[in-house]
Amino acid sequence: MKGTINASPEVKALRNVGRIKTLRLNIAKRKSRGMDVASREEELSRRLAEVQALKDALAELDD
Amino acid sequence: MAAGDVVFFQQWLVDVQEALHDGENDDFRYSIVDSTITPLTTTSDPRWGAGGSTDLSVNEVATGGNYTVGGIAIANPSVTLVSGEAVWDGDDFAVTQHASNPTDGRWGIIWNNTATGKQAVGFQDLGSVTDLSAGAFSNTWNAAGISKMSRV
Repeated sequence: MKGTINASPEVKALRNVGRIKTLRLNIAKRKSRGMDVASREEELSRRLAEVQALKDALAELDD
Repeated sequence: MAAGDVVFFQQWLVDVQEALHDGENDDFRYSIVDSTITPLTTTSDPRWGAGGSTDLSVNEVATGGNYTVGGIAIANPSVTLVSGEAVWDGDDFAVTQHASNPTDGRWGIIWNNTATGKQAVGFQDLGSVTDLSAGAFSNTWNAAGISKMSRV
């Protein structure tokens, strides 16, 4: 599949959503198998924070 | 091919079915090679080192700055079932700009540092010769993941 070198903020935002999906599924799978999830949860939190920041910024536009 | 395209080696299909890769737990690396080689899907038994038919590591860019020998680890590799397809994904990464970074990167090579034979997985087209000393370099995988496998 196509990745992006030096991606724009828009591409990174879309990627955040995609990676959040795969991380959530992966963390659930690993927990069910008793595997470590610490670094994956850190990455998930980081990406969720970025998405939330974008949502907050968009909300300001709607005000 | 277009810049950013990630293509898997045909040999990878064999290697997967011979259990040489654990997409969930192995240490996968992304290393950059120069334009003296053009990786193809048909590249014969590609490895990052000796033991196969093609040793891609001999074409690694001159290391320095924020790019070290063997390249960049793809953190948190994950295999998940998404809408009936097995998606392989991992964290994105970046190489911070440094005057001593490689100046002649042309292809990114994905390979398995855990596998005894250091089998290569696939490659990414950087589009053109890329100078990592001139600016930051980052790779953002496809929104849907690095790759996916489906039943046919």
